[in-house]
Amino acid sequence: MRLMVKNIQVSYEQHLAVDGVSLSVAAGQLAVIVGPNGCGKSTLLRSIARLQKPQSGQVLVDGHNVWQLSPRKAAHAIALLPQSPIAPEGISVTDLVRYGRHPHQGLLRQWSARDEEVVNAALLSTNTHDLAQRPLERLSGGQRQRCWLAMILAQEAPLVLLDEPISMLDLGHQVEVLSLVKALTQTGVTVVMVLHDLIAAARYADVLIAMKNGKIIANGPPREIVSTELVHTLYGVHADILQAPSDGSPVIVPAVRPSPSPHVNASKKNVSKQGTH
Amino acid sequence: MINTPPINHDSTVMRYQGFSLLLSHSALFSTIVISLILLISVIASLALGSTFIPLNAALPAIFGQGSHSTLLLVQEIRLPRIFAGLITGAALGSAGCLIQTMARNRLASPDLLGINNGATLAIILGLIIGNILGSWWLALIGAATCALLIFMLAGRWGRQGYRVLVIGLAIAVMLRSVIELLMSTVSLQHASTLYTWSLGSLVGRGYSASLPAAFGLTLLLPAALLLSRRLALLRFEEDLAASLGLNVSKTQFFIMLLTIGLAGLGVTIGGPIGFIALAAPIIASRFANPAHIPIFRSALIGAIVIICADTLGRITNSHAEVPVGVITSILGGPFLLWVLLSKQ
Repeated sequence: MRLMVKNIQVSYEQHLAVDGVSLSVAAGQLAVIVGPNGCGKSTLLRSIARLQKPQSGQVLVDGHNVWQLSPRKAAHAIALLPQSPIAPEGISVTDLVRYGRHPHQGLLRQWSARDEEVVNAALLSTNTHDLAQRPLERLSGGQRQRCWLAMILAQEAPLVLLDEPISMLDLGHQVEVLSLVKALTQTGVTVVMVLHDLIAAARYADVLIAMKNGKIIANGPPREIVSTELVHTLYGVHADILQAPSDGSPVIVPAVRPSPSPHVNASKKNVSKQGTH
Repeated sequence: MINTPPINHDSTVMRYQGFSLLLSHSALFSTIVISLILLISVIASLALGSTFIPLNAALPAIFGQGSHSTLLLVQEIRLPRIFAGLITGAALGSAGCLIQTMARNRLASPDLLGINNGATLAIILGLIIGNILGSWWLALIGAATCALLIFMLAGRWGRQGYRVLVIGLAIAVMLRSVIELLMSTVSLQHASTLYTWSLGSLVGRGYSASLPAAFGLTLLLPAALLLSRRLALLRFEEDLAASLGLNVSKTQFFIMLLTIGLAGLGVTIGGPIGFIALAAPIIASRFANPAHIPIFRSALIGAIVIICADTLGRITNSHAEVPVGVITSILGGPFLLWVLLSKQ
């Protein structure tokens, strides 16, 4: 297993945000964490990324406890793209992507042949080499997100974490970015991504991880776990589940308005509230 | 095969076995140009003043040749003053560059860390309690104490540095009131000495004040340059910088220490000279590739601005000199407006 999370508990501002979560993701898999706002999915991602120390439990990447690695060694293993990241003012695309090489560099190793090779490859595979000399801030949202992905690729980490990488993009750019991410997993890189968009998550994920109130309530391939009940438990919304004509992946069709349905009743709401802390 | 773009279009790479160095052409070129401008300002500052000394007399006087009065003017008055200006400008310019980069805010300056008010308060207390004026270490201790106080209250650097800067602002106001309270109690003679100090001036600052500061600068400036690669990462948000392998809080701590040290050195010689720490990094960044942190160029430009302002203060009024701090304040307002308006 590339990533193993063993029974972690993470508190965030005196609130138990992640409550006894265990999961594992194999090499080359795309795992997507979904759940309502405040369910702890971003905190979970941050603690995998070594940014938020769990009170208990372990995070192992390729068998190494990430909290026992030095920051530099951890950066060789894990790359993170935060939600709507900020870049230094006026920086060009190439210079941004070069920062991805930072964990591989030092005072006397400022720009090796390997650095150059990897940055070139990252620009090519994200189709940003035409933009290489342009300032990042002049690019469109979709172009910019591809550049950030190029930077993450340049880091050459086997585990890539993405926090809401498509939240500000139109459909065309969403598909572009998600396809790029999917292609990345086909090279053996493991990707764990937080998404708000359940529909996109069900379409692209190899493994879907559904969280509510700091706990995982379902975990598995989308076509096995996506159901009307799951959508209702997560978001309190009635939805029909169809099958995509092309590949049979689940398509979620939410109700137009929250009409009284067999799934929306008082007793069910109470059940889900009992899980709250 | 797709043609890959030239990644190092602006730099020369030198590689030897496992080692590699990257030399940016634009950085090298602008550093040379700025150094030349500094050299010209220094020469102009030697020649200009209440008495004009032609270059063919001023330059030999540096090496001890010329008439007695020229030697006195050049070696005893102008050279020490230029030296003091160089050290002060370089210290303030580099300190400003460090804090502006770390705060990700062009308007952040060491004044916000209470450096100036802390130093002024220490000078006043030294005068009231010990009847000593302007020992170089007194201002440094005041600046450092104040900065430490702000850090202890802030507890941490905080997200995007706002916590430290806002607490620094509050402490600065409180210290200002203490300074004014004490100023109103001291004798008229002391008050006028203090007033001149608080304006910021290089008049009569000899080597005894600038040599210790110069020594400090030769330690702190190279340390800051060594950290510049890590400082560059702090311009991203902390999560991203950390995931690129940076120990964020440790880097912030060391940058902070260097800023306090450099800004402290900047006030020890000539008092709180404003505007340099704010302006030098902004000017330097106009010459620099956005991927680089122009610490050294900020230091050079800080020195240029102070030398030019000091020279200007000597020649504008033939009866009395205008202190360098007053000149920089006069320049500061329009400059700030220019920065704010040209952002759009």
